[in-house]
Formats: sequence, C-alpha cells, structure tokens
Amino acid sequence: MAQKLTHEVTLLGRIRSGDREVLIELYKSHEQMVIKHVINHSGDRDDAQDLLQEALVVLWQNARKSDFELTVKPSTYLMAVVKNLWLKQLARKKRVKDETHIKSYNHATEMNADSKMDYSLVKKALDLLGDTCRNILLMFYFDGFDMKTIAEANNFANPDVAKAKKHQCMKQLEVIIKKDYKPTDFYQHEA
Amino acid sequence: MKRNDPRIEQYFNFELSPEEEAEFLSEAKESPEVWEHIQFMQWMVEGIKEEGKDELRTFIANRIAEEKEESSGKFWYAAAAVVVTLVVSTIIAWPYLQTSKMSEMATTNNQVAADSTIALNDEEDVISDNLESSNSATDSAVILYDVPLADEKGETDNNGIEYKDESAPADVNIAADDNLKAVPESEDKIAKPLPAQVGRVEIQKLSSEVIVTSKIKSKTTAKIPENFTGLGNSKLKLDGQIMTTYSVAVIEKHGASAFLSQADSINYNNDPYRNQYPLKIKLVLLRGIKSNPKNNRPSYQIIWNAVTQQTELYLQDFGDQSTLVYRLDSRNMYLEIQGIFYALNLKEGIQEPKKIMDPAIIKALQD
Repeated sequence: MAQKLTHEVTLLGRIRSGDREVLIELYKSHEQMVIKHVINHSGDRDDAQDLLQEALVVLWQNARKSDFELTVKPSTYLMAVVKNLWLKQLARKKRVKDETHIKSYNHATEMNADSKMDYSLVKKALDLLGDTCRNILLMFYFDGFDMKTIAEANNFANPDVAKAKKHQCMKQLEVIIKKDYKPTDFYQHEA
Repeated sequence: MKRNDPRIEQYFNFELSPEEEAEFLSEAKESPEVWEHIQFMQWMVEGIKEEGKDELRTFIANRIAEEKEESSGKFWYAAAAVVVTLVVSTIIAWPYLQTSKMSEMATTNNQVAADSTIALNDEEDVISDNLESSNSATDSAVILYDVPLADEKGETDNNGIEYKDESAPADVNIAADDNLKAVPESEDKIAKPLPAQVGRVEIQKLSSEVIVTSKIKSKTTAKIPENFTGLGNSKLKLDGQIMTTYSVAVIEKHGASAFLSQADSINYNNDPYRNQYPLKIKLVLLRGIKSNPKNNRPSYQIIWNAVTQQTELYLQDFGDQSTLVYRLDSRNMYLEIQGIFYALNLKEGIQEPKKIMDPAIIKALQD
C-alpha cells in the first residue's frame, strides 16, 4: 500500500516536474481499458485513443495546479476523466445531430449559439515568435511553471528577468496578431 | 481604468488575490476599451494553452507511435530471426529429412508391393559384392523425374519412344532398336559364374498408375502419390551394417512400364549430401520379371548405378546365383548371362528367354 502511495506521489511529482514520459507510461497502461470503455459506449478505437490523449492532457494540466491532490488511484482518476470527456463528446455529437436535423427542416440559419473562439490565429502567431518567447509563454500559461523555473530552464539570471521577458513576448504576440487580423477574425462559428 | 493599469499585467501573471481579481474585473468592465483589451489578452492566453495541449497531444501520439513501431520492429526482427533459424535448421537437417522421406518411400513400397518379390536372399552377398565394388547404389538416392510418357498415337515421350498400343500384339522378333543403348560394363558385375541355363520367367504387369514427380530447384525429390505402386524395397547388409535401401517405382502407360530405383546410402558412406546427387535415371520401358514364378523367392533387384549413371536390373535366382544387367527397348528385355544374350518379350505371361542369335543385335548390346 505504502509502495502504491509512493508511486502515486512520484507520479504526481514527475508530472509537476515536467516529466512528460510519465504520460507515455500512463497511456500504455490504460490504453486497453479506455478502448474497451469507448467501444462499449458507441465509440471506436480512434475515439478511444484521442480520448486518452485528451485525458492525459487534462491530468497534466490539473496536476500542475498547486491545489491539486490525487485522492484516488491515477487509473481511477484517469478513467473518470475519460468517462466525463466521452460523455461530453457524445452529448455534443447528439446535440449537433439534433440541431442539424432541426435545421434541415426549419432551414434555420442561426450561427450564434455555437460560436467558439478560434485560436488558430494565436497558434500561427506563436509560430512566428522566436523559440524562446514561444517556450516561455507555453511554460507559463500551459505548463503552469513559475517564473523561477522558467528562468532556470531558459538560463535567465533570475525570475524577474523571466517575468520581463514574458511580458515582452506577450506584447510581441499581440503585435503579430493585430498586424494582420481584425478582432472579428478571432471568432469562428460552427455549422 | 486605463490600458496601462499595472493590474492588467498582474492579472495575467496570476498575481492578484481572489478579492483583488474580483475588484479588478468589476472595474475593467466599466471601461469598454480596457475590457476589450483584457478579453483580447484572455483570448491569447487561451490560444497559448490550446497550443500547449496540441503540442502535448502530438508528443504523446508521436511517442506512442514510436513505441509501437519499435515493438513492431522487434516483432519483425524476432520473426526474421525465427525464419532465419528455420531456414538454417532446414538446410542443416535437409539431408536427414531426405533420409526420412526415402525411408517413408521405402515403407510405402513395401506395403504396396506386398506381392512383389524384390528382396535379397541367398544371393544377397553377390549383389553386395557388386555394389561394394562399383559404389553403385550406395552413391546416391533415387529421385523420380517427371517423365511424360507418350499417351497418344503418334506421340513420343522424352526418350523418343513412341506411343505403344498395349492391345497390339508384341513383336516376338528381336530386332535392333535405335533406342537401345548399352551400359558400360564393369567386370565385377559379371564376375560371378552364371548358370548356363536360364529358367522360365514370368513377365508381369507391374503397375497401371503413372507416378507424378516434381522438382525442387537443383535437387529433385519424388512425390509419391497415394496410388504409388512399387516393386518393393530391400536392404542390403554389409559388414553388419545397413548399406543400402532400395526402392523401386514403376511408371506405366499403355502397357509400358518404367522402373526407377533409389538407393539410400546414408548409413553406408556417412555422407548425407550424397542424397542430393543429381541422378539421371534413364527411363526405360519394361515389364517386371519374376523368375521361378512357382516359388516366392526374390527374383530381381533394381538399383541405381552411380558410376554408370544407369539403373540396373540384377536378376537373381537363375540357378544358384545370378547377376544380370538388363538392356531394354520398347518391346524386349535383353539379358546377358555368361556372355550370352537373351531376350524376353515384354508381353505378360510366363516365357523363356530366347537366345539372341542376330550378330547385329549382339554387337549393339555389346557396344
């Protein structure tokens, strides 16, 4: 039991330290379980693999939050995430299907309901940033690393330098985006 | 609130306390310009997060693909290793497999040709002597060639022998045959004294089945069909060891039969590769010969002579001992006994070999 707990603590610690290999280990140990669940619930193997990737991303992001505690086994947690994500996907698929059905009869053309932020412009702009800026922004906003870690990872003198650099990178990103795009381009609408 | 409010930066650095954050957002909403800017910044932050997710998904997908590829590679490597091992094992074991196959053939022959009389008896040592001196049957294994026989009138087979209608009366006159080819003699084959008198023999129809054979690359192996009919097999013993195993197969079409023989010399010469000796068995049309039909004593032996590259038929039991080498054409079997040539018509039935008087035939046989 103690060994298991140690393993789980280690697992969390590895995620928090940015060790991505732990995700591969989790993927391999849970793949069949997730495939079985998804196939038994109207999905296929591809759905399962996408879902497991998504669940690992969720775990990765959540585990990096300071207030996150793994109170259950990683597999239990992961499967709970998988099930929730799959239920959402099924609900969304059903809703889209229903709405498509209604639209086909009512010729409805409302677009507003499913408007969704289009992040492709940000992604393109990130590619135009230098590697250091891109890395800093991803480390801060996605990985959730603090400025001290970012400074160490990027060989900055101290966290303040990292913070200033991060500010500079955000400005740079804003400029790139605003240079070529209007605010109305930032939204996309689902059919 | 202005766009240069330091709390905007603090907000996006997660440096505000929950209370400060609530107050900040409340104030920001009152300024459309600031609120739009904050929304824009928030959109960028969400975009960065999405980029991070995509990158992590890609990382996972690539790593899993690598792992599976590696596993697959290991599988194929292992599979290749197994195949290589099997191939090497087969190459090494091939001669032994051949031995096994030939033993199987021999067994089949034994079973099918229950009424055949090939075996060695009291004269066995005579044949053994001959074999030993000539290294004949011990040198190679028998391999059955695919020999298409003529099956239509006007056709000829590989040996140039024309189709022969079995219903047609056999020509009792012994005539020179262009197909007749004498086999070089070695003295030891006829070293033993032979009886002056050749007894009555029975010409038998040996088989009515055509044996289909197949070739495998440079090696030729015989595929013995279920309906294989052989004359049987026997084992010679020399110095207490099994020296050879003979198997005789018969091919017949339209009344013409061809003998093929095989010899397994594995145990004799201790050279397993001898099994792969490329045999060139000359097919002949003949009938089986059963001497002294009133008793069941073995009467003949057919072997492959690796020296002369010919099959040879040793007739036995012509008296106390006999060793004859046969010559055949499509109609007759020629026997040489103590320098005198005899002919046996291939028509079925009991008959006496007829002494050949025609000098031309004798010369052809001697040549």
